[in-house]
Amino acid sequence: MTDVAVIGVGMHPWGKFPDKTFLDLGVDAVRGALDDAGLQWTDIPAAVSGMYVWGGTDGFNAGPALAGRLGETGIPILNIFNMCATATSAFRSAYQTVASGEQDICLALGVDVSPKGFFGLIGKETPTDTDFIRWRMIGATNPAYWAMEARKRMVEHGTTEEHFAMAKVAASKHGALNPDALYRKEYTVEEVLASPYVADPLRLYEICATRDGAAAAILCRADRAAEYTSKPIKVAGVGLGSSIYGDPTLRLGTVSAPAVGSAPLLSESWASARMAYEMAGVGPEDIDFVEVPDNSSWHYLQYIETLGFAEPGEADHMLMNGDTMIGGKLPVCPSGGASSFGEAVSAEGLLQIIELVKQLRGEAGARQIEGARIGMSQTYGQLGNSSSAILTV
Amino acid sequence: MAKRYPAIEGLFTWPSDDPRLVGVKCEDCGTLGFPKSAELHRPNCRGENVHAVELSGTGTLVSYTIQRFPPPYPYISDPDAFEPYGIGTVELPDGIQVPGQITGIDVEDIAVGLEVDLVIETLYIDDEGNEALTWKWAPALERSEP
Repeated sequence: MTDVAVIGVGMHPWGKFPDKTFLDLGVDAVRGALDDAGLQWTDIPAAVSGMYVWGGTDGFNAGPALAGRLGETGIPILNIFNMCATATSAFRSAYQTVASGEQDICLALGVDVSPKGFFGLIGKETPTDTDFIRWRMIGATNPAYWAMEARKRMVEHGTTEEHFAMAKVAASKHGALNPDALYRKEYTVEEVLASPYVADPLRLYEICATRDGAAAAILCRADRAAEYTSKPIKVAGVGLGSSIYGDPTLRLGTVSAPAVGSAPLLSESWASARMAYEMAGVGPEDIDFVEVPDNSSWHYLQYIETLGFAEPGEADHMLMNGDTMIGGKLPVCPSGGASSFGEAVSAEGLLQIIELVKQLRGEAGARQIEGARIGMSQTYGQLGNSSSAILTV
Repeated sequence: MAKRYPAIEGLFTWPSDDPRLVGVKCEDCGTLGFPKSAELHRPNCRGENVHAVELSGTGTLVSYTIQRFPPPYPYISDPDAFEPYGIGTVELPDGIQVPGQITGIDVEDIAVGLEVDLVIETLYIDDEGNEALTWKWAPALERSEP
């Protein structure tokens, strides 16, 4: 396999843009990545795009639809939808396109315009679809699922509501340093604990908002990267995981789980991270910083453990010790995370990868992690698919 | 006379004096799922002996939350009349956990470890005035009262 590097990244800011279409956002992100790499659209020989599932046929066909706006060139374009793993799956596919030797350069793209409020059903009302069943019969929102895992964590590990509040505080301190973040307010534990419950024990400020955004990365053969950038960032590992039989997680959109687990919690994320570690030839102890999918404060803590940075229940101590802050042992979400950006499902993974690239280039400004050499990103995966990336200088 | 019917057919036995959730079990690999459409197997099991099973009607609450804001459609409710409701994950002796709304107890009194029974209750009244039903979990003591 050919070594691969990231030579350009671009994003459309996260937010709500009622006057823009998902294509407007996507075009901005692609142009940003092209400018960053000093390339023209006609220099891109292949692309992989996350699908935008709330946007009708154009959304499902996001890649070719975007190419229309950029000027159609006949290149191979693959559309991918892999739930929360969508954008990192696009990144992985672009990586493979270059690593295999098929193309010297490939673009990866993710774009999303979120529905307002709680995410609802994707697709049709199908009586055998457990996702439809959970909405219609239980009225269980995504935060309700996360809250039930959070409650189990409180029972099993003694995690408290103060821990969940502190996770928001920690992410917000990083987000406050990031000029690209949507929410830049630094919260106190008291302010978080004063916010209303959405789904007990999780509170409003402990659950990420649903937002719009787009992100893109251009990958290139490592031995040609110097033609485009003085700071190529090497792709050391990419992971993609699906669930393992016996996973005790009450998975989003399901209405049953085994009473006794025989696989790790969030097994798809566990599997994805292990795949990325193995490919990169590194372990959790080698990672300098990590972007976890902090959709809620429960995710923040759980993913530190799922990725192997702490034993079950120990992430609480890391958080309270300040280990997860910039300057600490393992900075978590130096970008501010989904907590500071909001979540745009099909774009999320590439937003994380952009933060890895900025940190590893030494271009992260006030939130720069000194001496950062290996960064990891991990997407959420409670629907049974998750993805990871490990990048190095 | 208003009709009472399951909001989605086939998830629980109905009509019934002692309704049960209907799951699916593979006799070859022992895997239990709910509902019937959520048929799962151990890797490499060929799944040749799969049948519907009625799940136990009692269990223990192992986790819960309180849904504080109205969910979007396809949950059917009147947002103006919304009251927070409990949602619990219940472990059944069959070896499976099944979530559902919690009824018959003040949401502030819900606690892990609560013994619960399956009950069938009205989810919403449809346009014809008929009652669409769902399964819920109710404190076991409530049910034993006359």
